Amino acid sequence: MYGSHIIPTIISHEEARLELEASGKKIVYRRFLKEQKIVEKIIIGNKKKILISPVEPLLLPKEISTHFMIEFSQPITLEPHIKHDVYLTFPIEIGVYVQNENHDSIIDVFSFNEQKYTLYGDPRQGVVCRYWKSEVYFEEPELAPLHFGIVKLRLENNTSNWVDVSRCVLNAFGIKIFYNEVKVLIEAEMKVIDAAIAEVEVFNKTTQKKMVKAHELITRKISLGSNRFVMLEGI
Amino acid sequence: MKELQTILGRKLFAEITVLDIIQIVLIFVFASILTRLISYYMKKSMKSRLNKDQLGLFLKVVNYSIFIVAFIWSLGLVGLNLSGLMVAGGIAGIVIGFASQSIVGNLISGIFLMMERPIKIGESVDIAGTVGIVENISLISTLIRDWDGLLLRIPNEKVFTSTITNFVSHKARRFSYDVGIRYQDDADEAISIIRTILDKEAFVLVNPAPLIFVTSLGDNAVNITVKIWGPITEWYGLKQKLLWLIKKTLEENGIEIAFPQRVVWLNNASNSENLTAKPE
Repeated sequence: MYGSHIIPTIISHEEARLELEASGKKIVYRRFLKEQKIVEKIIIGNKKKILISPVEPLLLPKEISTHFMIEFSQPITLEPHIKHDVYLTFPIEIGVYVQNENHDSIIDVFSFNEQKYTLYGDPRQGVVCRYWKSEVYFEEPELAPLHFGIVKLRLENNTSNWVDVSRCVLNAFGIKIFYNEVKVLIEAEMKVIDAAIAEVEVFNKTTQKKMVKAHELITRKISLGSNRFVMLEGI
Repeated sequence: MKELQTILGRKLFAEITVLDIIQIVLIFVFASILTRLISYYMKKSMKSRLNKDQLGLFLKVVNYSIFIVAFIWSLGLVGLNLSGLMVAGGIAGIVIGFASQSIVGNLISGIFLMMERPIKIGESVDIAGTVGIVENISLISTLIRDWDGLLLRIPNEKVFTSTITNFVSHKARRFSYDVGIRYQDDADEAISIIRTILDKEAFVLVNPAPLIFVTSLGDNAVNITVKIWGPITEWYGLKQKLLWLIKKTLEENGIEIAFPQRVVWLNNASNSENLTAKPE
């Protein structure tokens, strides 16, 4: 499903179906779920190509947050000064773009997963985050790429104490998603600075080959500040 | 030409000539046009980058600065001595201060409101019983648009000295329902059904977790309290949606919402009968 498709086309996966028809410059996009039409859009455009790609998992049911929290299914205890990679999952949201030479425009976002949100911190100073609970893997898992992606998280304990880590919070402005036909990947690191403080940063590149970088939909209005997130309300 | 020069050179007050007055007027007209142009272009270019409150404050600072510069420039043009003016201004200030205490009070309160910022443009607030959305905060007064669309002007001194409830300054807020079910229905099952509804709702926050518990055994019903946290931008939509959904789902599962009722015992010579009276 991921990648460019020439219009007209019909793309199906499980109970979802995308239909694109063209008539001159008019393009009609329809999304069906269990044979019921959910979305219909009319586009006027010259190019007859669409791109299907994963997007930041923060757009559904509507964009209200710029942070994404992954809670571990069980806490992990880290030895002092240790570094180790673990693998987590995240829910995929799929973006449908209409393409032209200069600019791709998003026309639809959908997902096969339910959405939930949570508050990290207190109501005054905390942040509302998209919430996801994930199993923790120590080898890269094989997942259905239209449903789940992989977060390769480097855990780094920079303290001289044993620490327990049970969640990480990613800043949406920094999320870089890489994908191919079989896998969707985010690479990040979480540096524990204190028993209850950590800094999380998503990497701009991936160490894995033959992966395409997805478009970033969530960008800052003014480019100031870091894309890291400092978890001050507990880890 | 000579006549024009004569007219322009005529002194109207002290050393201030007609030409000086014209120059001052032109300076202020120019300043006014400049502020409007800047406002127009700033709104166009910055609207997508700054929120309403930040943009309003930025434009106020720019506009006031332009007029202050214009004022000082015009004083220099007419040759007024600023240091002499300050002495006279100090004495005049005391007189004006006594004469216009409430206006000065509003002005000072407005400055402190802009510094402390307990409310911002676009926020829903309650100021001493006036509830609505903040439309503008100026130096003297604050404009509130109430829920009926009426515009209310509150002097800043009143705003500053009143209890202000800001409904949207935090990231999340809680709301609650009381759901009364019949005594013969299973409260554990009702709680489980309500929890399932809340778990499926995206904007019902995982943390702080919703609270669902039997809060009282009333005259007519077993009362279940449901306390839900939602993001500040979504809580009201949740509140509108969930209560009816809870009611329908409970009834689909055979749990009814209780209504007021009385148990009536009839006592005659031979038998005692127990009838439950229901309203028609």
